[in-house]
Parts: sequence; structure tokens; C-alpha cells
Amino acid sequence: MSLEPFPRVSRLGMAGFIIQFADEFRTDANKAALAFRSYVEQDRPDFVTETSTSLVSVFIAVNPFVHDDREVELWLSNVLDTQNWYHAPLPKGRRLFEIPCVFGTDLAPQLHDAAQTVGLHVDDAIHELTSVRSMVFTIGYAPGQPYTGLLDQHWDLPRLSQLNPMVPAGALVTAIRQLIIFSGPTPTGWWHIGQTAFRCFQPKRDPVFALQPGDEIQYRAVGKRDLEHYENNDERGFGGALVDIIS
Amino acid sequence: MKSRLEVLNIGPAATIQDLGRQGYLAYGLSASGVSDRDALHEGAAILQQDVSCAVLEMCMVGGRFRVHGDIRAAVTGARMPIRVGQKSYPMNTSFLLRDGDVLDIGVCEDGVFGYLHLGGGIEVPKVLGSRATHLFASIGTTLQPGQWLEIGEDPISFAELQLDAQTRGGGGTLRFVRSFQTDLFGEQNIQRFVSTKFYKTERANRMGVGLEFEGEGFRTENQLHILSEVITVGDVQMTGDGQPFILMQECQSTGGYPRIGTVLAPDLVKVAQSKTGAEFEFEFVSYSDARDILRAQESIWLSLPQKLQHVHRALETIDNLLEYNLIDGVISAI
Repeated sequence: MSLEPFPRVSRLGMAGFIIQFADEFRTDANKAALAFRSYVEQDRPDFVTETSTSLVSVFIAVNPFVHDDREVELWLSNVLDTQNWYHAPLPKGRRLFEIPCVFGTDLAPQLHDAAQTVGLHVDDAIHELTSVRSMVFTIGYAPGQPYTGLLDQHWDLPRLSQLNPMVPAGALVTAIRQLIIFSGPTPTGWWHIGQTAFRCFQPKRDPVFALQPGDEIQYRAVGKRDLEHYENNDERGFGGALVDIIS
Repeated sequence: MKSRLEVLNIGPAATIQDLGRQGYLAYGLSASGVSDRDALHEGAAILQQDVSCAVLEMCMVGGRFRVHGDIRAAVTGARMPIRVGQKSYPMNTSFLLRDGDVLDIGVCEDGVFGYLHLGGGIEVPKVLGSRATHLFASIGTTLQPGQWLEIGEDPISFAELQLDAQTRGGGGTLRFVRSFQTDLFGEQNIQRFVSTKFYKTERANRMGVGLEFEGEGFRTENQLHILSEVITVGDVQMTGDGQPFILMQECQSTGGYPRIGTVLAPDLVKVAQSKTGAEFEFEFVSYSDARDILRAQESIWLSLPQKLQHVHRALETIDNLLEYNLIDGVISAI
């Protein structure tokens, strides 16, 4: 499949530039975005004030006063030409989080319906959800909130037509083959299938943000009492998660 | 001992703000910070202190505060009546609060956001390098009665200084630039957009401001299949029904609604400070004109200290005599 006209460089108003590696979600384009941003961050020119990634693109924030556009565009095209970003290795320093999670029960009331909709027995659904290692594609929308995946094709659940009025922080939700752990209480159209005590964003602790794009997550099914124990006793706010370095 | 301000009463949406925290978009956190950057710079100039000092942002309604220690103060932004006991003070002017004073800031008469600046700045703990409240991210909260605000060390001695500053509400033309999704709307929609009059709705807060207008919504092709992409402050996104929503400093970090362009920072002050119903039009400017507009704003900020005026003693006494009765009138009008 041809990727033309990607990667595509466009101006983002006066804020800087956006490099899009695809216009639909693709894991190779996501990896390209992470690798590209990491490369830029390693040797960031003075005129770049900030960088971030979304699913398949990179935002390069540029100080509007210290550059002319042609200089930045030339620099960007040179960086883009250094390698085939779709085949670039993921950045170093990635970690695996093994996160305890209560699946279903009154803590996560939509597991049953979700399993039924994807055509699985609840136990099989839990088995699949705890077997998969999902990668953090991007952090966004709310502070520290990871978008992860991809689950197998049959997990391509639509968003709910009626919003969940409020799910708590640490909620594990799913739709469109992705999993999110919510960083704060929020209304959502995603299916609430699990509950963790993992805090993605803790403004008064260090680290403030638990996860980075490229990190991987595997869930461990636990009971409600275990979760309560982790909630009350894990001073990191990680809800009993084990953390390993991947690379 | 440090000076402190005891909150006796406070409007419903008052927050501590500063220039905001830059550099955390990669973690899903927008900058936050004051809604009216001009007012922040004006207050810093009047109190002759650094613009990084944290201030109290008051939305529509001020508050009542008991003063502990002596504190230099000034109010900028939306016009709000200021009283200390029987004495009233004008906007954009420094005044000295004495230990035991009760400061009253009333309901806003023009504009939306008023700012209370204090000599030494408000010293709530910094989170990620900034004291700015970010309600959506649960960094800080709206101020509540009974709270105490610590004020920083103030090395500067009091002088009565005044700045000739205008309020910035009332709608008007919003200068904006093209962005990466502008073309998705098609030339016909874009032309219609810049020739349409918009009105500020009640759907307005520190995250964003909704506009309404007569006519069909502004849509792009394939709008439901657009990927979520980074949001920058000032982006004008079209929600599902094609109504514009201007994203402000406390917006989410990414969003899937298409954006027709980005309002320049100096004109976002107008968006924030205009009341519901204010009329707006959009005007595209080139990137190079936009850069000049941003530069002009920076140079206005830099020149503020030269525009300070000393308040004349004799005149001030007369002012206060006159104002004494005027203020009675104002209070009964509220």
C-alpha cells in the first residue's frame, strides 16, 4: 500500500508545524511518529520550543520570532530524509507496566455487555484482555491519559450511543480495538470493562505523569479486595503495578 | 511573617493564574494561565514586578478579602468597583492595603475577567513550574470562602502608580490564520465563514467559547473520520453540528473536530473579555502579518513601564471627595 502523500508537513497556524505520517490509524505510522519525535528531541534546535505526538503525527512547536519558515521547512525535510521513519526502531527507555485490574463486577459494569457484543464468554474475554500486551500509542485528551492497543479485530466495538455519565479515575475502558485508563473521572462513550487503582496523572507526586508513548501495559486480573489493598498501600499511586524496562 | 489574604467571600469561578505551564502537550496537558494576558502585563507593570507573579482571576464577580499584613495591590482587566472600607479606588492603579483592612471587589461593569495583583505575587505551590489553576486537569480549584492566600516577599516600596488601560470586551474583528485543516472546508465554506457575523454564546469558560450564527453549519467532507490531532490555543473547531468553538488556554490537548483556522493570541483577549451576545467577525491575515501582530503585542507589553503615571496627591483628594458620592450611587445601582 502506498503511503503517498505521507509523511506530510503542514503549518499549524502560528504555533509551528505538524508532520502527519498517515490520515488513518496505523501502527507503523504511530511508530514512525514516536521515532521521529524522539530523534528531534535528542538534538532540538533553538527555534523548537516543544514537541508532542498524537496517534500518527508529530507537532513541532516553533518560536514565531526567531525563524523564517523556509529555514524550518528545510530543517524538517532534512530530518525526514535521514531515514525511512516507518521502519525506524521505537525510542529507548520503554517500560512494561503489569497493572492489577478488577474486570467486571459493580466496579466495571459493562464487561458483560462488551463480551457479549464481541461474541465471547466473559471468562474468555478476561483471558484475552489479560494475555495481550498493549502499547501506549499516545498520551492525550486529558493529562497523562494513555491510548493503547491494538486488540484483535473482533474487539472493534463501536462507541456507546448513550454516554456513560461518569467513570472514575483508573477506569479501564475500550472501543475501536483500543484500551484507555482514564486519568480522571469523566463522562465517556467507551465501554467500562475494568477498574484499576493506577493513577496516570498525579500533580502532587513525582513522577507527575506515569506513562509515556511507547510503554506497554499488561493487565493482571485481581479481586476487589486486592485492588482496595493496592489503592491504599501503593505509595507511588500505581495501584500495585509492576514496572520493567523493555529496552 | 508573610502577608496573607483571607477570602471572606468570592465569585463562583475565581482561580489563581499566571502565564501558564508550557511544554507538557506531549503528556496531554495544555498550558492554562490567565484569560487576559494584557491585563497580566498591565498589573505587573503597575506593581513594578515580574510578570511571572501569580494573580487572582475573577470571572464576572469579585470578592471580599481580609488583609493580614501590608500588601500593595492593583486591579486590572474587566472594570470592577474596588473599595477598602469607605474608600474607593480606581482600576489600573496601585493602592496599599493595611493590616486589618477589608477589600471589596464588586460585580464587573464591563468585560468578564478582572485581576487582583498583589505585591510579591500569590504563593500557592507550583505544579510543573507554574501556579496556574487548571480546572479540567484538576490542578488547583476555584477559590472558596475561608481560604487563605499567602503573598510572596515584596521588596518594592509602595508608590501610587497608574496606567491608562482600556477594557477589551465588546466583540469585534478576530484576526486568524490558516491551519492544517483549513482546506478541508473548501473555498466556498471559507468565504462564507469570513462573511458571517457570529455571536458569543453562554457556552463559554476557560476551555473554550462557543459562537452562534444564522445559517447552515460549517462542515468538512468526511468529518467523522478525521483523526484526533494536536490542539493549539485559538483554534476554531467546528463541532458535529458545524458550530464554531474557539479553544482557549485550558483546552484539551488533542481533538477530532476539524478546525478552520487559529485566532491570533492578541485577539483571544477580546473573545475572553466579551459578554454573551457580543458580535464577532473573522478576518484572515497572512503569516507574515500575523508575526507583526504578535511582535506588536510584545512591544506594547515591554513599553508599559514607560507609560506609568504617578497619581497626584492633591488631585487624588479631590477625586476621592467626588467619588465618595459617586460610589454611593454605584452601590445602590447594583
